Amino acid sequence: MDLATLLDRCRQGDELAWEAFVRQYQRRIYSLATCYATDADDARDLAQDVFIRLYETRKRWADAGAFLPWMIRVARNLCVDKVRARKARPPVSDIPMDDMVTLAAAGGTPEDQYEGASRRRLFYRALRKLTDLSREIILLKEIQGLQIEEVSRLLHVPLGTVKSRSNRARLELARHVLALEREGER
Amino acid sequence: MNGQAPLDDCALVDRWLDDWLAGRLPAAQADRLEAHRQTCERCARLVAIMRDSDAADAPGDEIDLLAGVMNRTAGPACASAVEQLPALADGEMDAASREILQSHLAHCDACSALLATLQESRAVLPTLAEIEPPLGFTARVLARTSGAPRRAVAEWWRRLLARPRASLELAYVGTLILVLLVGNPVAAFRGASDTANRVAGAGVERLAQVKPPAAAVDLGAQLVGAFSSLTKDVTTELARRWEQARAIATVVETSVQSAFGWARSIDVKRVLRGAGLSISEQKPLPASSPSAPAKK
Repeated sequence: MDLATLLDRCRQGDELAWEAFVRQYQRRIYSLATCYATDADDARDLAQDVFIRLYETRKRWADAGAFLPWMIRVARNLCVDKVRARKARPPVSDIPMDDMVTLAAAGGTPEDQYEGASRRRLFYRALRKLTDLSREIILLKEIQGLQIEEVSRLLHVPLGTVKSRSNRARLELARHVLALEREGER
Repeated sequence: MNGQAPLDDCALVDRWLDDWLAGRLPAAQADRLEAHRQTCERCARLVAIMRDSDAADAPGDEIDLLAGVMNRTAGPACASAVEQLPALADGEMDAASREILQSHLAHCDACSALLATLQESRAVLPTLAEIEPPLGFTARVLARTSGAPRRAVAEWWRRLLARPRASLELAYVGTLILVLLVGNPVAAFRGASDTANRVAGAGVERLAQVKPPAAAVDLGAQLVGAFSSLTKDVTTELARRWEQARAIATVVETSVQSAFGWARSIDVKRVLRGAGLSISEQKPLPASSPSAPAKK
């Protein structure tokens, strides 16, 4: 089923279509929520709240062509609101990521899969060490694949600033990855 | 190693170096410089560099020299190189800039490692877009969203009633309805409507003395007209209902009075005797019972 049909059926109150929608986007929403959550339970609650907000506003969903950026914007804004309501910023401390995320295994031999999962966990840990703005830029642009104009609108940051901060954020992330590698070697 | 005379010779080397290496220098001067080169480390290195000899290509010497030169001129190139690494990783760099940067990377392990991690991040980060949620996540979302509108109304009503002042608000609304239907039962407020009308009349008289703009007058006239019409309708409706309620109350009152009159006319003793029953008349108790004399 193409996205436009799925969205239409959800708008009409088709419960099965809504279930299919949740199954299709739960990994993406959960991934986004983990960047704002303090732990796994918090991430799960945030992701659930996002879906409930989507369900309540399904009559006003964006069209299929612009749906994904729109959904990410809704999810991000809700996560930020929730975090602000708790009077806490998105965490910058390192938490046990093995307990928090289950990264999908890529193809290849078991050794390749293990190595790939290790590298993804390493990048994820490095991501959580970034500053708030850097982390959000990486999250929205590099991970969720939003266009730089969409990131600019979403974060209320000038386009030029997003461009320059994006490169700086990637370098910052790479430095953290290298530092974590060195820590692991000790 | 370098005394006063060799220092002079160093100056001569600097001055005649190009001619010496090109073979244009007279033999005597060339011999003098050659003799000096064999005794002066600085001039020997300078000549070696200029001759592009093997000694000048020694890696350690080159790096030491490069670092020294960069430190004393433009500063270390790593900062500039790092700034350009994202563009190189994204393939957005022109050929000349790429060649210059790659010549730096060929000798800088730190920048090379950073570039490798940047390139890896381009492949790894998109894979983080989807993370498997915990078990039971879908079921919990569906449980919280199925039939959501009905639950939302129920939840709204429950919250409305759970507020501390809900009982007061209900009592207020109930009283208002009662007063509208059956009139004001509280004597202290029976004259309130007359007082209110008098106050409102005084206010209207004062407002009439004000000279408002024409547009405001028109708007005011429209509003007054609409309000008068509404008041008339409401008054008519209330009067009609009041008449209905009074007629019902009259019928009820008449019925109740008839029932009481009929009940009073019945001789209960005669009815009971007819039914074979009797009622013993109760005698009033004496002031003190003789069977229970007071103890002394």
